[in-house]
Amino acid sequence: MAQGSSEIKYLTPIAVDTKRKKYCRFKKNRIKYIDYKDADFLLRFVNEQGKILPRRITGTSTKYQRKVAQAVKRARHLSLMPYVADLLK
Amino acid sequence: MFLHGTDCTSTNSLLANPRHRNISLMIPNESSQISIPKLFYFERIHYLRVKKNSSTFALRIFNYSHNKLIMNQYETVFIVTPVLSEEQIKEAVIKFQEYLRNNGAEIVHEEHWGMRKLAYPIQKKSTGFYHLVEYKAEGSLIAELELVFKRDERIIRFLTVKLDKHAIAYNEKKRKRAKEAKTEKVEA
Repeated sequence: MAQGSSEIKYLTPIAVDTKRKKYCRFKKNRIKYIDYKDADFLLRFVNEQGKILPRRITGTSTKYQRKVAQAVKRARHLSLMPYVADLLK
Repeated sequence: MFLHGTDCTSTNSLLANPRHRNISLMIPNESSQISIPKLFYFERIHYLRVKKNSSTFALRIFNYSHNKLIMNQYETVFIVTPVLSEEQIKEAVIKFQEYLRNNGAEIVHEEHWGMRKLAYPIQKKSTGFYHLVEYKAEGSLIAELELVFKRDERIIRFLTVKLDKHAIAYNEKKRKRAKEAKTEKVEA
């Protein structure tokens, strides 16, 4: 029992690598179409250099990742987004 | 449109019905009516602008054998050079509106975004006038339209996208929202 009293007890479990589950925002919000004209929205799916972020970072499902990529590429063509950038965002 | 007094908006039913084989039509370039007595004439004439109740609308006449018209919805965004004056830009926009109308397309929606900064320079220009047109057209028209865009020096960039049902729904919703916002502003 002496050993047991020396143990530290926490009221809430300590956050040891409790990763939040990633989810696909399009599936969750039931977004069916990704607008290529909405550059501000698409900015969330690219990094500072203007590169499209991979699925493993954004958590987008395969189906919508394809659509995101397509939309970003269309936005780039229309010069709504840069192909290359240094300090985007 | 002069069809023995019968109202006929679609050429399909017109061609399918043997009673309507004697047809006279108004052609824009020629002021007089032209009567088309036989059906095979239709195979040669492709685009016709038809007058009916003083309003003009375009009709596409096509082959008797393939009388199914498939209209898809498309959306085109194009960028006009900033070196032009306001009127010249309008002229360029009107040219494409006319082109679409004359070739049997139905314009659903239009948006003029005005002068915008480009994300990267195109033809050494850092700004451009954006214009968006949403329309219903036959697939074969798109290639012709893009050729006209390519030939026009005033257009520095263009993009045509075919809209699927989700895209159409999205655009309609967006338009509705914009309209509501506008009316609210007026009220306030």
